[in-house]
Amino acid sequence: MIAGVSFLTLMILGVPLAFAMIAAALVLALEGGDILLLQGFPQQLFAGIESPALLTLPLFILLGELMGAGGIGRRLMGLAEALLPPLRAGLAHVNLLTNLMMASVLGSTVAQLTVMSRLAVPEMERAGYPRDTAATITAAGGLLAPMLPPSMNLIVFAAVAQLPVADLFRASILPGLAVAAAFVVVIAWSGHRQQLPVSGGQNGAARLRAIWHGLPALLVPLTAVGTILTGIATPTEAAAFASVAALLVGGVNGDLRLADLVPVLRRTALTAGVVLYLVAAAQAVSWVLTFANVPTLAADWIRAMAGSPLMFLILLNLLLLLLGTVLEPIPAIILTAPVLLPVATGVYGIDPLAFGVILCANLALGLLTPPVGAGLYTAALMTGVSAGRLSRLLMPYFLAVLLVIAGLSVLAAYNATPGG
Amino acid sequence: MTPRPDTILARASRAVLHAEGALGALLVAVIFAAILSGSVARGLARPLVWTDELAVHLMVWLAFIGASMGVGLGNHMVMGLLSERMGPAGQRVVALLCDGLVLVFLLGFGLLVWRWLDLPGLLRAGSAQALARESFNFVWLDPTLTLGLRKIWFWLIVPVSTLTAILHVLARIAGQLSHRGAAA
Repeated sequence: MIAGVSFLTLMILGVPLAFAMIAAALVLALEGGDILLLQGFPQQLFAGIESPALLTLPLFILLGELMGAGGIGRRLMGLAEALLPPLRAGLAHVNLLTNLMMASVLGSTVAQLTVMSRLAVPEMERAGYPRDTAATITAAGGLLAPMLPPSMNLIVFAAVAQLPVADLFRASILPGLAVAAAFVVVIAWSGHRQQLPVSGGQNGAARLRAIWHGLPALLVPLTAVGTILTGIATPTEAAAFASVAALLVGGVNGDLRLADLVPVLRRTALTAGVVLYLVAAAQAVSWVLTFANVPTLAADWIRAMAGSPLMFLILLNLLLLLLGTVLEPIPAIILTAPVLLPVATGVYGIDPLAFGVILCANLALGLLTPPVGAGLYTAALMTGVSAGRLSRLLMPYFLAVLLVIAGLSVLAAYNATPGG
Repeated sequence: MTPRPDTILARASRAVLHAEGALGALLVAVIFAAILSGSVARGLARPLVWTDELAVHLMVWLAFIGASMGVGLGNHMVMGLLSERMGPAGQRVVALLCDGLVLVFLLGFGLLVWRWLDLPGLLRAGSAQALARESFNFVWLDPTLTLGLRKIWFWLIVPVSTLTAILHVLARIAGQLSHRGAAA
């Protein structure tokens, strides 16, 4: 009780979440009189992230930084534009296709939005799109990053849930593509409604030139995803190989110079360090929670609330959507997964991979919802469209994602084996 | 961020941040090289057994260094709901309060680290083996699995990063207090 109150107080005041979580874990251990837990606590904090599976995280962050610095995004957008036939809202579809290719390399909405807002929004404006429409489509496309491999959310969930990252990546591909397909429908609908410009009328030579320039860049997402799916490499090795590909493509094209590498490594170190420490804090909290028997108590409470797997998943979705509005996905995953996953699998027999995908998809929406939504504010900042307007314009895209989540939930409930 | 007066604490914090940034960058490069060489060596049927363990331990170093840098640069993930709804004066008070709470946390954590490593006990006992015999504290003796090193060399990042984080938060607090003093 005291631990919960102190955590909430620290969190609301704005103390870093990692410290608030560790402090709450320490208070919980003191409350339970577990002095021995306190003595081993620093070692436990270290041990919490002593896992080869977590190496995926710094390496995919490195890959993202190399992509940004190596001009890979620009080349992928040129390629997408050359591949699509002339159609209404053509550039919006190009934007989405580029986002899809970028999402298979970048795991973070904010990173993707930063690149895509600079790339796509000015070009769409030049082609006659209203800026807020261009910004909305770009922001929605950013949602694909946390839903498709190598999503950072999926990596953190796999670490917390102790599931193989590669399995989770495979399980997320179809739902991620379903979200992309739903976005295609929304773009086509709004293209006709708003009479967005028809584009894609490049001549043959220009098309071939763009394909020639863009194809090497495709090597990066293909290496990242292909080596995992074919089983040639573990996700960590895939990130390392794709980083080599990004280095080669950026280096050969002259977009990435030796002097760019040190800032790239520094930024990777800072981002990865902060996220990894948060995971360490979460593992320490789970460790203390297990001693305090909290997961069992939570399971009993949830069992009393939800009578069936579907009911459980509906309540879960509502809870996660609410939580997503005030918490960023990674802390939210870290806070909810250790308590809810054992209930989902143990009590309701829900597949842990399906649970992970549903959890991550729900929390990804939170990136674009106020009051706390790093993606929303990044898009607003980069495009100059107000966050309030952007979140209203994003409604059709939110609905599309919710439909996919509803479908996934029904499927997961249907396949569940309660008590099994 | 408002410009901070150039106190000794601020200069020391900046110098440490610079060193942490450089070490962090080096760690990322070594982790990348270790994973790549481990994978290539396995592909060539000449596996290197130590690359994974080295990469994992360096990654944990990265986490603790990142935690300290996050304090210095204000880069940790926070909720910030309260300060978003306040004016500039209120925001400064909340920021000072948060930094104060972080300092209290770090001092408390430092105390736990002090007890965990039991340096006075080690000095009294005379050796890591004697300490282990006397108090069953094996922290100075635990081996790594493949690196041929004791784990304490990696664990030492915990006290070091706690000290650097304390330096960073003290510099922040001092900067905020002198900023308020200058404003008044």
